[in-house]
Amino acid sequence: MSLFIEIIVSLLLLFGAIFLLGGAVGIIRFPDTYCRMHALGKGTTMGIICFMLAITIYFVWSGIGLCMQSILSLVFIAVSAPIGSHMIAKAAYHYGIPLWKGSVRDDLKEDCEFIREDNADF
Amino acid sequence: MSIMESLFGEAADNQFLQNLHVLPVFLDIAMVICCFNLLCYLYRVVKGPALADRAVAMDSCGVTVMSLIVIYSIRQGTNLYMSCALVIAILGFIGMVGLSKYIQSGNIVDTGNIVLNLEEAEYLKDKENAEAGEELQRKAEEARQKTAENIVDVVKRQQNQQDRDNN
Repeated sequence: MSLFIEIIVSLLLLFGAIFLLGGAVGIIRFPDTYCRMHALGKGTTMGIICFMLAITIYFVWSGIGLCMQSILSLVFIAVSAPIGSHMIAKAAYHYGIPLWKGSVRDDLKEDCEFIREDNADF
Repeated sequence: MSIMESLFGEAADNQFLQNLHVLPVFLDIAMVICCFNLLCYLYRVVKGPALADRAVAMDSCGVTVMSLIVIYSIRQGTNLYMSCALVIAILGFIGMVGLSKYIQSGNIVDTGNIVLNLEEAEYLKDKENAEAGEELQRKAEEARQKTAENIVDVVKRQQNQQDRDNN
């Protein structure tokens, strides 16, 4: 049983590190600002969730006790990291950073045109 | 005996971790991968063409530092460092929100004319029209008063001239 929990903690650490590595490879290899944000938003969120689960299980298992800070930071990162990534992407779009030339679809442009038509009087 | 254990001498005090055999190896692997991630993010921070790239890369640096804190706190066998991870998470989110406002509008606290919704915009427009209408009415009343005074003056002058003529 002890070896089982140890393997679970080790695999959670490894999965977290691999998710973070996926984000890092994405931020180097992807051609576009929005693609990079896409890679980083998923990778960092999932990686830090795995890390925090691992350290929570480890602290309970090793007799230190239930660590509330790790659970709090798990919930907070899981809520706030996608929100922050979305806000940065929207701000970059309204700032005028161009899309990659291979992008096939841009739904936000039509919505922005509707908004501009509505606000044209003011 | 793992590789990093010789670098961090305090880890020898952790009796619980010394009895394990699988976890120290994975701790080393995860630590090496996280350091490589930090190098990748720093490359994007230095090279990134847009400000948004740098902002997201620095936020991810914070997340990777959180994971390094997790590894280090497992190695030390204490949960005192987890408060630092929580603080880094909160500060990273606040920094992301502030940077997004800065990228979008050029300043963080916007005190200009913000059109929140259409109803409020129409209300502001009607209010401006009403104020403009009040100003026009006031000017018209002033003009009327002035013309009336002028008319009164002209009538007085004519009366005076008639009196002089009669005399």
